[in-house]
Amino acid sequence: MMDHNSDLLRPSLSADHNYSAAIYSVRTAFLTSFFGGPLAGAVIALLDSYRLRRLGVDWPLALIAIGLFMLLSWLATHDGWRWAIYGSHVGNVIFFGIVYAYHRTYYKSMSVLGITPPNGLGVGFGAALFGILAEIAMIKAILS
Amino acid sequence: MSNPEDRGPTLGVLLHQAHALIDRRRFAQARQILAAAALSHPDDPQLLYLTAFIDYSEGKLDDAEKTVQSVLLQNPEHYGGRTLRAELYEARNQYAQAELVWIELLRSYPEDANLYASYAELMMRTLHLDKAQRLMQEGLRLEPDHARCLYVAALLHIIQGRSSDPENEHLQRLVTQYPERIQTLLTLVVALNQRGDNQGALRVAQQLLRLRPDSPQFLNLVKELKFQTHWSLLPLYPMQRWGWAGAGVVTVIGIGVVNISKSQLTSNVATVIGVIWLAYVVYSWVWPQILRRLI
Repeated sequence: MMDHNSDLLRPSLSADHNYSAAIYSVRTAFLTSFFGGPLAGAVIALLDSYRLRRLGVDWPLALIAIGLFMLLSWLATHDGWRWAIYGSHVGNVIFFGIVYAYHRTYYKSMSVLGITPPNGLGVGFGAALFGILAEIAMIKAILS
Repeated sequence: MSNPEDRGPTLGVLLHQAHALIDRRRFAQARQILAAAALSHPDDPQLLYLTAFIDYSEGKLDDAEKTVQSVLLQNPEHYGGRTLRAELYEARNQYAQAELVWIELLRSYPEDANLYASYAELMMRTLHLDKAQRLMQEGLRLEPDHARCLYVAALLHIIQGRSSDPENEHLQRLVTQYPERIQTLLTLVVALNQRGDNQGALRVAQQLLRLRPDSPQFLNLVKELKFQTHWSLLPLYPMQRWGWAGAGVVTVIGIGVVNISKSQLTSNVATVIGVIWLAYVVYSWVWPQILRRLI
């Protein structure tokens, strides 16, 4: 009982961590993944994991993103531009679904408790740009 | 809060009256009584605490903070003053400082279920859901029918459960034992909303607004639910019901149908399908914004 209580009464927050209670919104995660691809989606997801101090649990997201990114880039060079326009977006949505499954409880908490997410415009735009440029570079590398 | 009876009959009666008025949120009248009592007992910690509580309830955080400091200067162990200090930290998003105050309080009152509930709420708000769960369980172990612990338990069940889960036992107990509490109705709104029953949630939210007509929070809640239940948003049901996951599925299906129609159907039919899809996408982005402004 004593041990149980001393564990419960150990602080979980620290003022010097610049801690934010919220993670980026589902909208930010969706739009970044949809337009920027798996790498961009992973940037947002892993930033959220950092805020939640869950990087130790969520690290497989990085591997999934890199794997899906390679697969989509390879398919784009073998199935023409139609795939690049349509199929890659389907892959992006699938990646968003994986991110959503990882962080579902936290998104739901924010929705239920009315927690305002941080503004994800700048980070989302930057991540999407990074994802698109990485995809173009990879396709060029494969083609050459 | 400490017992007002031990402060002499006049002050005791005034404190009772002020308590009763604060419970009914009649803050202006409570302030008058507190001001009258302060003439004869200007430094009474309980009087100061109630004044700070009213300031906090009315959003005057700076005033509340100053008065709480006065309370704690006179009596550093004042229970109400310490809990209000934690609430003030939370109101200013200073969560780490608030946590330290809750922990100190729990060390002073290790059997107080209300403190476990307060700390659990903070952990929930900062997305430390496992710890919130354990704190709530400890609170319910100490007081199995504690209203605030049941409230936290019901919310955690909604957050962690799925819509197909069995009934929320804590919410049922909350509704049965504390049907008149604002927190009960609020939890009911959240539960109905999460189950997709927005019409039911709207009815309960309207009841909340009738109980607290001056609350901007409940007014916004009713507005939001009226928006979500508007007939013109019916084509967006998947997005409303399942959020961005629903949007993702609709997007995949839409792109798939447009793509297949280009290769399988005549160009005219494919063009019509493409235009309908485009119109749907534009409608899904533009109309909710317009409707929200209209409501």
